[in-house]
Amino acid sequence: MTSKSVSADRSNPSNWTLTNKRREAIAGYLFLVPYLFFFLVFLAGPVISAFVTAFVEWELLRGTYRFIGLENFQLIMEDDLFWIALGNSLYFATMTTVGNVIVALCAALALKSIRLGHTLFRVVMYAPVVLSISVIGIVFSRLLAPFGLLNAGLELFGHDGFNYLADPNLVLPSLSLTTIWWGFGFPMLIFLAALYAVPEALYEAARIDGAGRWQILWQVTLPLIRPALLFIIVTQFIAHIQVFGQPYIMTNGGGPGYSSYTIVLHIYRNAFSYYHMGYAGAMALSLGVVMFIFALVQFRLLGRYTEY
Amino acid sequence: MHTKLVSRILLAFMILLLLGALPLMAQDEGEVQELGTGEIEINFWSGLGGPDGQSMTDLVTRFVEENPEVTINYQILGWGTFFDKLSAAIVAGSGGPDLMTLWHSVVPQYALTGHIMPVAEQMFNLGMLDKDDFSPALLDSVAFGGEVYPVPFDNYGAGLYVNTHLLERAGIAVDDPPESGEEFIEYIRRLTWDENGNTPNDAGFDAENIEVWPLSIGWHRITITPALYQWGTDVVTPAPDAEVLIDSDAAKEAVQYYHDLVFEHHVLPGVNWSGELMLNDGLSMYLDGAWTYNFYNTNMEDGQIAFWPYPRLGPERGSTIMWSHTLAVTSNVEPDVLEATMRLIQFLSDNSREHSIKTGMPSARLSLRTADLAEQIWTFGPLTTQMAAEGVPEYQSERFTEVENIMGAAYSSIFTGQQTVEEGLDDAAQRIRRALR
Repeated sequence: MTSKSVSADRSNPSNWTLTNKRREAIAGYLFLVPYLFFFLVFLAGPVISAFVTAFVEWELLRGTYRFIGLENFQLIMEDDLFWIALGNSLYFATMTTVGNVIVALCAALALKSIRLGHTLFRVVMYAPVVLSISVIGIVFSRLLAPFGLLNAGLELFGHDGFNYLADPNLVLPSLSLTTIWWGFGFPMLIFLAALYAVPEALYEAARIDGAGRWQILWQVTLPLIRPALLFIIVTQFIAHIQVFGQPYIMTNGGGPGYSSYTIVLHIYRNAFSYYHMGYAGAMALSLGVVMFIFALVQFRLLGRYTEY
Repeated sequence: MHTKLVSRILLAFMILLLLGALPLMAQDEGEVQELGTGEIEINFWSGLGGPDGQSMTDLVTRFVEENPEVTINYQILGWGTFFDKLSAAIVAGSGGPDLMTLWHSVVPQYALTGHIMPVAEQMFNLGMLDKDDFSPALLDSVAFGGEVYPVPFDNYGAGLYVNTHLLERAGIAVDDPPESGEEFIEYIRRLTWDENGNTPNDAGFDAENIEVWPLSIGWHRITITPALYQWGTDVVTPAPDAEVLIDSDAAKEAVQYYHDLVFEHHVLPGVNWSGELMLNDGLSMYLDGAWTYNFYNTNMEDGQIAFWPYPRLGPERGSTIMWSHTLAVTSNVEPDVLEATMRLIQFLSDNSREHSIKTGMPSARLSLRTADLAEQIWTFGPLTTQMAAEGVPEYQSERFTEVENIMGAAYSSIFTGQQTVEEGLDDAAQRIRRALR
């Protein structure tokens, strides 16, 4: 059949029949339409809008809206609070991601090695994830208060305790520990799935070759779960650099002073308390760039795959 | 197998429900109460919670009972998020209030940008309220372009709550408040005890094991701002042409006074609420607002807590801070709703004496602050006498929220020892200047 004859056939509506393959493809696209609609309206749209906002002066209460080019980014360079908040967020994200990976990995290794109560422990350890940050924030504020449960426990051992949330040096580690307790259940499940995917034969081979537990962990387990590790580190870092609820609820919006003031709090305050929408948009865009750079570095460092 | 799976799913679902219900059980504000069944609907957002909120709710309920043509969609919001939600609703142009409570300090944010109307001026012109029945200083603080915007509902301040058990222990008479900054420090020394019952005036005082603290300085807007006035300065000069004063020498001296109290005289820096500590005889004095009257009144043994005026600390003048919850109306309100809203404001203002008795918050109406109230409310006499003689309305700014957040963080840095007074106030001044640009 020549191309001319195909063209002639298609010009006749009676010949418009679809192959099964095409019909399936169209059905697939139709199924994607609802998702695409919400994606465009609630994700792509706001992202594009935020991008545009970064280049305008938009004072909500005053009603001003004008294009000012890169002026908002110049303001960021002069804004010491932006840099304090970014530093706090990076410190918090690093501490919490490392803590989460260690705790989640240990929990997953422990769960894989036990038989009795496996499901119960898995549920118990995952349970905090389903709580909202409001609940976590209020409970831990009381737990970590000067006359709270934790200090009451320390008093039994003759220690005066600490002012966890009012001490500038302790506040971010305290928020980080709270967050690790709250969130390690999710990475634990990912690690658990990755651990089950490692072929048992490789462990047997390592043991036959005389490898000890640590050697097996470092030489067999960790290299083989590297994709899961990369996924956890990248997603956890991106999530934790955007920390908001913990300082908002537990430290009265970033105190003491600016010790727990984070970048998303700074963006939120500028956007919704001070109404500098353009400036907040520029900071959000800058934060996006920072996260992208860190994700790239993490992919670069951990992106190698290991196969045996 | 199938039954087991279903039972597991059900168990998980029940756990989720229970966990999900926790925050709902904690929810006690933000819900809209539809009061009345009338055709005219007024959306009223109030920031008054606790006893203040209950008293306001009672008044609003009475209004709709007496005015059946009106329905009030009444919503109590915490002050922590009140202004964020309010501003977002105003800008969005829908879903916001017709009537709202506003601190007088934030009025410029909404008046200078045209989002609220000069309803007080209209009510004065219509004879619904008498302009001469309000403190001129208070009306001036909410007037722009010669027009008074919101109607002041109450007019309150702060002072020194004192524990009479501990005054007696120190040999200080309840009717003998300190007269100067030096005498205040002497009182502080006499009202501090360690675990062995020694005060800082005794040899062997153990500063590491204090059993009774002398003073908690509480919220900086109550404690430090009046001190700024007493040293002849302020945070900023009034809107709209604000000049930043917080890095002046006078401001640094005022804050240094409190800094020394915390770091040299064992005063609690006010990080945490100290009301219970006072009731448990662990705290001698507490600088706090008029609104705390109700807490002590409800919880104390007879006469355990008394009230003194804000002490005179600085060289310039005595002073105390003055605030007002004002009733403001949005600019885009419909005419029939505006008429009903003005009647509601008039009703609330006329009945603000009742509110005073229930809450300890003096009415903004001078004629309703009668002398007999001092016999019913033990904070009333010292508070209103000092406010009338030395009351200064809190500074205002078109950027009040931003300036206050900056000042709150600066004081927090200073009183937790992260920064010196000079560093903290210099940084704050730089940030405020940037915000006001």
